[in-house]
Order: sequence, then C-alpha cells, then structure tokens
Amino acid sequence: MDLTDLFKKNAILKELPEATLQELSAALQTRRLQAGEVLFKLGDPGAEMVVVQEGRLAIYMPGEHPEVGQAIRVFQPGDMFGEMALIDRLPRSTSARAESDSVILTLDSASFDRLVRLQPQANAALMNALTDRIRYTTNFIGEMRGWVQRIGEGKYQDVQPAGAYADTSLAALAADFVRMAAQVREREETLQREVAQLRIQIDENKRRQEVAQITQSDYYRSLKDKLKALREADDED
Amino acid sequence: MSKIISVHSFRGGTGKSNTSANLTYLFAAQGYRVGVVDTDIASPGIHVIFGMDDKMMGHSLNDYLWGKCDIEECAHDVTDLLGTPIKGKIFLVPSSIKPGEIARVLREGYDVGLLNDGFQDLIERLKLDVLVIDTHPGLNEETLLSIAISDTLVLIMRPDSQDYQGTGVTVDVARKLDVPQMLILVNKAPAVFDLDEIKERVEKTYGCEVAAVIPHSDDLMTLASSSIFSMVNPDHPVTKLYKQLANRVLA
Repeated sequence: MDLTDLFKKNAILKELPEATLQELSAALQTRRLQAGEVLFKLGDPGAEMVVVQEGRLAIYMPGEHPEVGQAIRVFQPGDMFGEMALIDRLPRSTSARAESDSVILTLDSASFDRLVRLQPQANAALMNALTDRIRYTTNFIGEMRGWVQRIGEGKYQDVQPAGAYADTSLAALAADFVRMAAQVREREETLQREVAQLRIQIDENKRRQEVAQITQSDYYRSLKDKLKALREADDED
Repeated sequence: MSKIISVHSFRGGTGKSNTSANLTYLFAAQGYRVGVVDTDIASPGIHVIFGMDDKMMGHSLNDYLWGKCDIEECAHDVTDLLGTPIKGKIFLVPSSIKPGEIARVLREGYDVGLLNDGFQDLIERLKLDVLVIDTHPGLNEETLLSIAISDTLVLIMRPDSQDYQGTGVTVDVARKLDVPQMLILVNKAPAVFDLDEIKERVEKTYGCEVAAVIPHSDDLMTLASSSIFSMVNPDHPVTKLYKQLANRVLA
C-alpha cells in the first residue's frame, strides 16, 4: 500500500501536516515478517513504534510457549502500536507476532524524538490521540462498573455491551465480561438446583416429645374414648 | 355412605382454604352434594373464595356453637354464586367475620363436642355425600377432633423448613387417631425444585402418600382468593393436580 494512503487510515498520522509525514516516511524502516514470527516479547525493552503496512499482527500474552498465546488485539494495515514505549521507555507489556506474512514500518526512538522535537504539530497530534484513548478507556471503565454492579445484583442478562467497540482489546474484554456473566449465572443455577434437592430435616426427639405432649393430654384421651364409643355404636348399627 | 375430609396444615399460609374450596368444587362438579365448614374460627376466609360477602352471611358456625341456631341454618347453598352451572350442590358453613364474635370464641372457647354433633347433623339433614372441613392450623382440640372423625385427612405442607417438623408431628398424631386415609399435598413448591423428587422425598420422610405436588403458580397468586381456581382455569396444569388430589380422596 502507498504510504500516503496508509497514513490516511491512521487516526494519529492523518492529522499530521504533509511536511511531517515526509519526515516520517524517510525515518521509517521497512521489515518483512513471516506468519508466526515473533516481533517482540513481553519484557523486551520498548525500542520502536510499529505501523502495519501489509498483513496482520497481534499482541498477545505469552503462555507456556513464548510464541503462543490468545491474541489480545489484532492490527491491520494502517494500524500503529508500540508508540507508548517510545514515550515512557518501559519494557513491553505484551508480546507481538505476525498472524500472517506481513510488512511493517518501524520508527526507532531516536527518529521519534527528533520528529517530535522538530515538528510541534506531531507532538500535539500524538497528545490528542493519547488523550482520546484515555478518555475512551475511562468511559469504557464506567460502562464496566455498570456490568460489575449488575453481576453483583444477579442481573446477569443485563450484562450486554451497549454497542460495538472500535478498540479491539476493549471489545475482547467486553466479550469476556459477557461470557463471565453467563458462566457465573450457569454456576449459580447449577448450585441452586443442587440446593433445591429438598433437604427435610426433622428433630426426631422433639417430634416424639411433641407427639407425646398431645397424646398424653386429657383432651386427647377423652377424644380417643369418645371415638371408641362412637365406633362401637357404629358397629352395633 | 358419606365421607368426611379434613383439610389441615400445621402452619398457616399453606393454601388450606384454597385447597378446600377447589376440592369442594371438584366434588360438586362431579354431581355430589358437598358441605364445606370453615372451622378456622380465628381467621375465617373460605367464604370469600365462594363469592359470599358479609351481608349474605346470616348465621355462622359461631351461632351454632353458642346454641343460637341449628347447624343447617348456618349452611348456605352457594352453588348459584359460582356463576358456573354444576351438577352437584355446595353448602357452606362460614365462620363469623365479625371481630367481636371472633374475639368471643377465642376468649370463651366452645364445646368442641358440639362440632362433631354438628358435622353429623349436617351430613344427615342435608344428605351430604362429602363434608369438607377447612381446619384451623396447629393441633388444638377442635383440630384434633376434626382429624379424628375424618375418613380422609389432607395434610398440606410447603417445601419449607418451617413446615417439616410440625407436619411430622401431625402425621404421627393422625396415625395414632387411626385416620383411615391420610394424603399429603405439597403446595407452593418453588420452580427450582423437581416435583417428582419432592414427592419421593416427602413420602420417604413421612411414610405417607403424597397425592400431588403443586408448584408455585403466578396464575394462582394472581387469582388469590377471589375465586375457585379449578373452575376459572379448567385446563390449567394446577387444576389437573387438584383433580389428581380429588380423585385420590374419593378413591
């Protein structure tokens, strides 16, 4: 894909002025990845930002094998990731791998620093993008609080995303939440069915005492006598 | 040969009056002459289910127990109040709903022996095929008498821990009183229960036949005590269960 078209697909890059984009294009390194190839691993120093040009890449939490793990988020051509590492310099918080044969463009931290220093508009665009993301996440957390409350109240069927989420990792989290609510509900219903296996508990001692209390009463005895007389009278009839 | 059926539960709120009313209706619908007596003097209520209001009441069971009238004068033919023509007849002996009269019975008591005479006279004079006695909860003197003179005791319980112990005591006492037939009706069973399993467990616990397990029904709750459920909803699953009970009682 042509770089100009590629940049237009990106929420941050499309805001940059032409001159900045030209600077950026010159600084980007092209790299090819084969399907399944690991780009970086959890804990690696965050040294570059990635723009997907062709193919698909995913970030994931590695399991037992470093290259295997459920994808948290999948990136398509025009998508960018790893930019936070260029700002805070912290090690990678996930691993990344190519889901198919892919072409990526990378920007190393030195080029990034220069770009941001020389192009104040790039700085502003980046800040806008990061602010948007924080706001989006904050809203999402607010919505999630609602789900947590509904789960607490046992209203499992009300745990439904309000709509589709543009951010795939939040969409995945939302889907996990809905799945969790269904699982909790199912477990609870199973438990209820088990509890519902009627348990009849009777204190047999107390039962005997209470029966004796009645059958030893004067009234009960006279009742028994009267009944006996009545039955004998019936027999004579 | 007439039959006396006591409908009883150890605790209140089990649906005793509704069950009495439904049994009475189902018997009468089969063509029987049925008497129904409200001996729950402390908290009368079955008259409402049959559509009888205060003005219609006239003499009540209280008047008979105080010697003010004969028992048949307290028996009101409520067949036509049903609004549905049936082959049989229903005679209702209500308890007074006047607070003063309720208080007086509670304060002074009455000769329980009169109840038995009253039941026998009622059967004889009104040529009843069946007499249904809607009892007072618990095991006091008049309840013991009603149970003792019954051919069938229908014991109602809910699947609720508060009902288990008292039901056990009642079953034992009824056995000692040699009641010829005893049937348990499990009422208001929550939807989470498996009804067949309830039947099995209750029968095993008390060694007594469970004639029917009636699930908690919103339809039943909605109708409450305003009418007779099996008459209003002839094809409802709950009506089928009432019929099952009625058939076992008259088996």
